[in-house]
Amino acid sequence: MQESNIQTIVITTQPQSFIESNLEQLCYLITGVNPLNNKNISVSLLDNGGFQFINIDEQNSNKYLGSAFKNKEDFLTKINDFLGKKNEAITRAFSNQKNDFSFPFFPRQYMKPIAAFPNFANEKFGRMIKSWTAIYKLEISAYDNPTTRRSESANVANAGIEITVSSGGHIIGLKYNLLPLESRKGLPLYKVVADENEIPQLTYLLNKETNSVAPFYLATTEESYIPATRESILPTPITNEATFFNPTDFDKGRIVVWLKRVGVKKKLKVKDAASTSKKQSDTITIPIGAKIIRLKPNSENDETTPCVYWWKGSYHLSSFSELNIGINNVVLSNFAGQVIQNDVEHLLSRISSYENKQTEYEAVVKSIKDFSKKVLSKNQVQDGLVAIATSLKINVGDKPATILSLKNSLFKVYNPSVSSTAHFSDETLILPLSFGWFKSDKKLLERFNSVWLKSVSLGNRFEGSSGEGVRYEPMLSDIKTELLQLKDFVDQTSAKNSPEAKWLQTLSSTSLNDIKRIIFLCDNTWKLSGFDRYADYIAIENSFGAFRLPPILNVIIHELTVNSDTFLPFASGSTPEGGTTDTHIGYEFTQDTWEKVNSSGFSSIQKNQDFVDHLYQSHRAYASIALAVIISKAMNL
Amino acid sequence: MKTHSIIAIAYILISCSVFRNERSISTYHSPSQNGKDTVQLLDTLVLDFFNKNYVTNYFSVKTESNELIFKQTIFNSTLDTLELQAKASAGWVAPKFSRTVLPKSCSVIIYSYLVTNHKGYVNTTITLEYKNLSNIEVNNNYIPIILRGWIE
Repeated sequence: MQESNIQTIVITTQPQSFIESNLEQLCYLITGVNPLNNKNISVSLLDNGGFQFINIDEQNSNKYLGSAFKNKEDFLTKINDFLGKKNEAITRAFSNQKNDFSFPFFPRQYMKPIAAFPNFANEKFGRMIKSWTAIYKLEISAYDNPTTRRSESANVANAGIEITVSSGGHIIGLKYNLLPLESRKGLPLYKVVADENEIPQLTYLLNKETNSVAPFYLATTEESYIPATRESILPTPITNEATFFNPTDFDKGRIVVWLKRVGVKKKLKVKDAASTSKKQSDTITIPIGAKIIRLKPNSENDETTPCVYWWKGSYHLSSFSELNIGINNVVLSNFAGQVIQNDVEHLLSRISSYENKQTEYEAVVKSIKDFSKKVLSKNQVQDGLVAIATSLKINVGDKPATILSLKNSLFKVYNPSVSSTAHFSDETLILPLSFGWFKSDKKLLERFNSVWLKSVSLGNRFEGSSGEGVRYEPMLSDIKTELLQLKDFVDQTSAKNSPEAKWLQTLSSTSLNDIKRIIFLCDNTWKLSGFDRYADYIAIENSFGAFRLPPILNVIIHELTVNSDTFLPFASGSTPEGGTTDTHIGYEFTQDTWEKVNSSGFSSIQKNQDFVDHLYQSHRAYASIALAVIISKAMNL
Repeated sequence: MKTHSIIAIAYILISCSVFRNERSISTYHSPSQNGKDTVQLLDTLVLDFFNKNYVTNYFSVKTESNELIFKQTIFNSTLDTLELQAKASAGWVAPKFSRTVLPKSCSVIIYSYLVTNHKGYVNTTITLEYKNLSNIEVNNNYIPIILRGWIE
């Protein structure tokens, strides 16, 4: 990953062991109460780093001495002064120690209050203020934006400080969800595609294993973090091993899963998944990040779960420790490239029957075949993730621009000819309107209720989490007519400067004349998470290693297919019972096929790729187009 | 002989139903499992290379289940075996059908509606494509099946 010229801040912290070994002293210095052998004090260490102090006695106290604070501002000012004094006291107390502690324990320069409120006593005492609470987030000035010349800040995720002070002025609650910040240093940000001035959103993560607070880019989905400097190392997710429970029921969110770490407790035994014999083949290991299909565990107490997976050209069946199984593909290791290559090879095996079906699709298959020969380095995968997150950014505030960008990315890799002079994209309109937009203005909402909802052709096609297409008359013409009328109408509304209104102004009867299908996208489709497996009856788990498209683009690929005869015309599907369907895959299909594999083995479905699609929660034809887009973006083609 | 008689009687009954202008819908509730299975029975659709579309009357269905099922009989009135392909225009509708229909025979197609978040007025299209298996030179035929109504 290349470094840019932009400098960011990485902060080193004291280790959690500093908190652990000095817990009593820190509590005493901050609250004036010695927690040792004090039954009214509860002190605990926090999993993410830091500690929590609660004075039960003071919280239950009925002594109301009147409020020590006049109002919220007064409370925050006094707390700020108080924390300043405590910083001095803690620095003094630890100044003679081996590790010099000359930095503020409470990093006031980064602490931003996000809430301050009084807590009231029970009603029987009247409405009296019992205590005040202040909650702070941590906001770090991350870098100077060369475009805006502003200093851009980013929050530290899942970290903060919460202080509760009794009306008598005593600290009765302190949640220090942080590690003491020790020193800061400048490091170059990793370069974001070609344009280093365009920087995706940053967030800071506290990693108590590396004693650092370092920046990460937020990917298309908020659950995904991409290291933004060479010292940004993802913290290991916290697992609670004490409450082990291995669910045996079907769970649509835990069928396609990923190996998040390789266990050392049990040796991995692998056998050919298609084999009906119980004999196990040679022991192999698969790297973290590998996609696996979670089958039914033998019992809820069993620590291991049988899984099917594709590795090096064939399916295998192994048992994995449940603690090593993750529910998302954001797993980056030195084997990230190998994992991607494996998923690509798997798809190639699934789409072999689609070869030579359509000239334009052949180019898609060729790009996948070429890509399958490459093993990306970890840095190349990171670059690819940033490129995908940046170039396929979903801006809900500007749906027309987002759709234009997604359309361009999609039709660049697959755009069938519909005549000697025209392509599929020329006759397709993906509508960037939404119910939310109509709702944004009273007049627009009135029009929606009086015109759209009362029209047989228009209706409300924005409900749900997927999309819908219209390609038949008279509905198609009715929608075009309304769009042209809406173009004039919107000028009379407060939404006249919205991106949607500006898009409407680009329409004309001539431009709509060639349109043979109009695709609607539901409002909730814009809100789908990257880890949702279904958009209504559309399976959208089209991931390849750590790579995946924004969910809405997977929905668009589907809608173009089912609303045409030229976009993936060869794609169809089977029902779990063996009947025929189109390319829809509801979770019930996955459930039925999953049950069949559990009862009759993977070999019972392996020969029908439609069933494999059910299990992998991904229609292979859509996955191939998704992969072609990913290749185009990640490889900057 | 007995089979032929049954087919003949079925054809007469189906023909009577089809050649009315109305596209009627009747509802029944099958024994429910997991809150599913409110089934709407649609008029029979005849595949004869002449029918160009099928639009239902407005239906009104009250359901508390997650899924609404429309069931339709398809009658192949030709003397050829037909191959079917159906595509639902909406992401929340899925068709289920048999790929082939023998000459002068019936087949059943099911349209499953995911009702969650889709209550109110609906107007969706399923494109039914069919072709003559014995004569591949004849162009495919398309019938848009438009289902419209109100789901409470």
